[in-house]
Formats: sequence, C-alpha cells, structure tokens
Amino acid sequence: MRNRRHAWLIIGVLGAVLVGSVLLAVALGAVRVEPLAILEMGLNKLGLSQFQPFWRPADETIVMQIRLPRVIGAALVGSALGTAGVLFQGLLRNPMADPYIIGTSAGAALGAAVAMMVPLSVKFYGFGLVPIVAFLGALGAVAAVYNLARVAGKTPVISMLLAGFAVSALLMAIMSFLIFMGGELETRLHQVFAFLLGGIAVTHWEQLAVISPILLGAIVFARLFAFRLNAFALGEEGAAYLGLNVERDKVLILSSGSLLTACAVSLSGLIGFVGLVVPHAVRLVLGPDHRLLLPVSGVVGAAFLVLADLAARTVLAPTELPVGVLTALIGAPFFIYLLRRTRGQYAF
Amino acid sequence: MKRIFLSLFLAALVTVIGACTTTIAPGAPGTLQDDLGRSVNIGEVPGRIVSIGASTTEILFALGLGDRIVGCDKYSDYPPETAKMPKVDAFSSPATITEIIVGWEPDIVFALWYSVPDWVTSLENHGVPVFLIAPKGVHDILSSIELLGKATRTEERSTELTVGMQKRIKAVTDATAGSSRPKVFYEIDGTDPTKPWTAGPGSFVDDLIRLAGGENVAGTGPSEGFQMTVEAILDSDPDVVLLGDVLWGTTPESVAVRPGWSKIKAVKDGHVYGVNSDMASRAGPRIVEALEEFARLIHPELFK
Repeated sequence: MRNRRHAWLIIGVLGAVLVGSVLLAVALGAVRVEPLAILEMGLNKLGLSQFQPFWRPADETIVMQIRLPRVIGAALVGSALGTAGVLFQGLLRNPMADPYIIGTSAGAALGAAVAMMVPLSVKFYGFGLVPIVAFLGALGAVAAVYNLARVAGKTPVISMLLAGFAVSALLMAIMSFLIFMGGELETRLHQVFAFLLGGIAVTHWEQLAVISPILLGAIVFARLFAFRLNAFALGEEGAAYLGLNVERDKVLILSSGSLLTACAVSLSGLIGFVGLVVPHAVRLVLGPDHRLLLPVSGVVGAAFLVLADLAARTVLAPTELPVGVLTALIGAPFFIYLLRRTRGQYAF
Repeated sequence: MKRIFLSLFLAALVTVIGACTTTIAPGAPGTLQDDLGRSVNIGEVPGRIVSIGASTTEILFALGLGDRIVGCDKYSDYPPETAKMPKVDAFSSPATITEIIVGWEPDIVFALWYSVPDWVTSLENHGVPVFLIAPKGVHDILSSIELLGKATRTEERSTELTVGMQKRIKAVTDATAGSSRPKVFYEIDGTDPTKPWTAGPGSFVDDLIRLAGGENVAGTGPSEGFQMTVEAILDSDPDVVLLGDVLWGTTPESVAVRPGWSKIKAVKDGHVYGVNSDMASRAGPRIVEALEEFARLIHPELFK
C-alpha cells in the first residue's frame, strides 16, 4: 500500500465498476423490460418519485423480486469466493489454493447429492433442502479435515492439504457411488451436474436476508486478519516470532474462509475459478499486501461474478450456460495475459 | 480450538433442523391435490396456462385448451401449433425460469415432474401456482389426464378422452390375451452398440410391451432406464427388436451389422422395426397409438 489515499481511490473506482455491473445486469435478462421502466420503478421504490407505472405488474416483479436478488446474490457469492480465496492462499501459502481446496467442494457436493435423494420438501426462508445440506456438508468436511490434520496440538499446513485431498477424494467417491447405485439420484443427474458446475440459484430476497448477514459479517471479520496473513507469508515460525498465536489465528482464518465458502455454495453450487483467479489477479496488479488484497479481491470477485452471470444468461439466450463454465472461459485467458505481462514480478 | 469448529457446526445444524418446516398443507376450498400430494390453489377457471413437459402440452391440447397456453417448455413439439409458442428451457437456472414464466403472466403452470424442483418452489414463492403430474405407468396416464381435466374444469372432455383411450387399450389386450408372448427388446439409444440404453421396469415402454402382449427382456433390469450389455441381449435372444432411436439415424440395417447381433432371432427373422419414441415415452393421449403400433409389430398375425 503506497499510501492510504491511493488505496481508497482503487476501492472507490472498483466500487463504481461494481455498481455499474449490477445496474447493467439488472437491465438485461431473459425478459425484455424497458430501461426507462426499470429506472422509474427503481426511483419509485427508493421513494424518490411517484411515476405512474406504464409497465406491467409482472415486469416489476421480474426486475425487483427476481432479477435484482439474483444479481445481488451473484455479487455476494463473488465477494465471498474472492475473499475466501485470499484467506486460503495466504493461510496455506499455496498458489493453487482456492476456497474449495480443503474439502468444502466435496462436502457440499455429497451433501447436495444426499439431499436430492431425500423425498422431503423443505422450505427454510426460501431455501430448499439441497442448499442447506450442502452448506452443512461444506462446513462438516472442513471440520473433519482440520481435526484429521491436527497432530499434537498443531495443524501443519501440509497435513491440512493432504487431509483435504484425502477427504475430498473419499467424499467424491461416495457421491459417485450413490449416483451409480441408480435409483432416485440417477434420474436427477442433471440437477447434480448443475450443482457441480455452479449457477446463481437465488430466486428470492428471503435467501439473501438469511445469508448476507453471515456472509458480510465474515468478510468484515476476515479483514481483521490482514496483518496476520502478511505475517504468515514469513512462514509459521516467522509469524510466531512476531508474537502471533499461530494456531489460534489459523483456526479463525480457516473458519471465516470456510463459512464464506459454505455461504457461497448454498447460493450458487460450486462455481470454480473465481476464488482462485481473482486473488491472483489482484495480487499481480497491486502486490501481496493483504490489507489491500482482502477488500479489493472481494469487490473484484463481486463485479466479475455479476458480469459472468450476466453473460451466462444472455450470450447464448434463450439457452443458459452454467456460470462456472463462463468464469473459467473469461478468467483463464485473462489470468494468462496477466501472468505474461507481469512476468518475473510475481510476489506471493 | 477444535471445539470452536465443532460447536459452530452443531449450532448451525440445530438452527436449521429446528427451523425446517415441511410444505404439506391441508386441503382447502379452491385447492386440488396434485400427483405429488401437494395442495395447489387452482383458483378460478384458468385463462392463461403454462405447460412444462411435452406430455402435459399434448394433454392440454387434447382437452381443447391449446389456445389458452401462453408458453411451454422447449421439448413441447406436438401438436404443430406449439411451434409458434414462446418457449422456456426447464433446465436453465431457477431464477431464469421464474423470470420467463412470470413474464408470461400465467394463472397456473402445469408440469410433468416427479419431484419438486427449485423453479417450482421459486414460482410459488412469487405467487404462481404449479400443479404437478407424475404418472408412473400407462394407466396412471389416464388418471393424470382426468386430474388435469379437474384442474382446468374440463372434466367432460377429459372423461370422454380417457374412456376412448381405455376402449382402445382394452381392444389390444383382448386381442392379445391367450396368444404367445414374444420376447421384445426396446432400444432407447444405441450410440454405444455394445451396451444400448433400454427401458426397464416401471417405464412406459415396459408397460406398453406387456399390454401389447409381449415380454420385455429388460423387464427385470435394475431401473427404468439402463444400459444392457450385448451379451445379456444375445442371451435373452429377443423375437422382436423395437428401435426407439430411428429418429437419430439407427436403422434395422445398421443394427444387423453390429458385431454379434446377426445371431439374434429378431435380426435373423427380420423382426427389427423403428417406432415413434415420442409417442411411446410421453405420458400423453398418443400413448394408445404407441400401444397399437407395438401390438401390430409384436403380433402381426393378430392385427392384419
């Protein structure tokens, strides 16, 4: 961080980009609604005006009750994944780390698959059974990995990575087994596949009312660890010499990262690439200081996913692409470009 | 520290389980139970209908409601009038499906679905009632048609339709009663000729073969649709092979030259036929046409 003004400028500009992306994403969609109508209903909703509606009531439902929560949901998921990616990469000091690396994805996938087999119709503030069990599966898997990796009061990074790999492999094998056993799940392969590829599944404000306090709380909480993550870059021993309670910090960083990932999963399934590429891209441009990396990755992740979701539902309309395919299609080439451009200057 | 994690996890679990509510509501006036046992508020006679499922679309047209359908899913391609209708892909994301269907301003949505997908929950959250049918066999199709008749207040037309269908089914079963029961293999998809997909127990095709006086060689299989190995097919030695994949280019000739298939009785005797898979697999009024087609092919001696 060269100076504080500089940092605020960056966040301000990116914030404006995010707001612009949200407005664009609300204006465009499967159903065409006049931009003027959207503007007027928005101003009416904010209590700034009382325009006479020239649009159908259905248009207002579409824009205000269906599209807007979806776009906000995409922004929340993107910021959660971007932030969680920074946390995991910083904590594990591994450039390949992403929010799913220590079991969350496999736990969520198995949870979702099991929930799909249960012929029980559940409604919990707009959530069905699948996102709820996926959320718990993600947290449960990380808890299992953490406990497995813990040896004599310490949790070495390398055993966490290995335990994460082993637990993920086991959970994914169980999921595949359940699918190939046939029966209920086989007929829902499409649903399983859609969950694995990821897609913003927000259809109602209620879902956001439940998730956003947890998610935003975890993002703010994570920011408190910026300095500690900077110290972690020196290695755990180095961080301990600086006076950090390494094991405690590890658990808190891991918890907030996993909570963010689980929140994201419950809103969108497994969207890959955002949590891996956004932190790297930001790091390549702004350097490795977590005080800047954390908030900027959150904002960039949000804008990126809002635009990716917009592209996913409009580029090939009326067909809709899984947003996870889009994030990889856009993210990978951009990442390669950044790598080539900043060759040799990469600091982790 | 381990404790923090565990208690966080348990707290989340308890909160969620404690707050879960199931959605089974008691029957109230103006509501009708759908095939999944859900009470759906069907309101007044629906003026604007959305149909999700090629079969529900065919049923609604047969009930004379075609001109009230304001949109359907992209697989609805019969009758030809459906070509001009607005379409939705029922496998896109729930938010997109909801957006498109809400934009059609329907009074009710009819869908053939065996579970309650997210888009149904989402539509209901936005005040659009969704009525689901889930027929599991040929006779269930008749009850589903009657249920749709009830839900659209076209009971007279639906009874007329099902009575007619029942008559045609009975004509076939009466004719084939007491005759031999040829073994039948039905191919859904032979892209991999070493293990083509076939229709197992619980499928409409399995039911059709039985009603048409045949015996489905896949009738003891593990599920409604599965891949049967060529060894198992050779072992069962079917008398008749019905190709549900002729629309994708499979022909009796292409089947005959598959390795091993020339040994099958049906191939040797030339009893390999293409069938209209849309009619045989859709839970609609045309299922009786499929039944008559199956019966003619399985028992050519009875239906001249």
